Amino acid sequence: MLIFITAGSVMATLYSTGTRTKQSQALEQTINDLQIEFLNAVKWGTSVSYSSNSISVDGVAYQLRDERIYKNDVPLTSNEVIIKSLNVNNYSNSPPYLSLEIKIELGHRRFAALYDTVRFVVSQRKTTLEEHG
Amino acid sequence: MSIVVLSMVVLSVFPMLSFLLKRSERSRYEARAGVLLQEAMEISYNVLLSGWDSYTEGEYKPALDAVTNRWVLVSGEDTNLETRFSRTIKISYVCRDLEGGKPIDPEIFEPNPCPGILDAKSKWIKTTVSWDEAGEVKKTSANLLALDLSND
Repeated sequence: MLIFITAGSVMATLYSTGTRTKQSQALEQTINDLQIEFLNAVKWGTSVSYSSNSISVDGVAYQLRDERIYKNDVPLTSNEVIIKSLNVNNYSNSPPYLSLEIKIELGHRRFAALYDTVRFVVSQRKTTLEEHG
Repeated sequence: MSIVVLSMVVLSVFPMLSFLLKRSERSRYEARAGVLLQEAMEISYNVLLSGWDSYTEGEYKPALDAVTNRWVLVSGEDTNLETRFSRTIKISYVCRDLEGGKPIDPEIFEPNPCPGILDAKSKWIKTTVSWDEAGEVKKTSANLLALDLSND
């Protein structure tokens, strides 16, 4: 009897840990994907604008809607991950080039205890040279 | 016999689980360090775009000027970031070799003088993030070679 209980506990622990790890990885993967997407877009964008919860780069609009981030009306994040908030601020010391601080709060739809907040900065690159004199 | 077998299974499974969870935690620290590193590089680039002459050689940390609401670099080291990380941005003048003008990593010749030609139009920005992990100091760093293309 004791053996069955112990074996059952071991199996339950293994299953629970495996599930939690898988969901945690889904969150981490979403964070990585969003970071790469925003970094590449804003860094090399020629025309970049923003509002408190959206960014537009060369005609491509990124916005938070229905707890997902959309890229030109196509969802960028999976249905399993809830994007609770997207906050964008510009703290550039070199206008007109933007330097955006992007904060994203996200959680897992089926595992409420899993949530994370990520904050990263991306600066628009000066890709054109002006002529003087 | 079955108790012995079960005990062996339990004794091997739980330590393995603990190892895997710790491993996952370590890789999360490395990911966080990477984000902090990238943040410092981005802020440094933006600040130097318009403040090239304002920052000479030295160690800096990124900060937000509460009055202007803009990024700045201030002297010193960032400590206790997310209760675990330290970060420095080291700005150095660029020393180029005499043969092809290739930049020489400052760590190769410092604290000795530049063995080549000092390039006033370039700056070497090295960001380092460090943290303690089970008593061992871990570090990650990145270099940015910035060039001032504005006319004088």
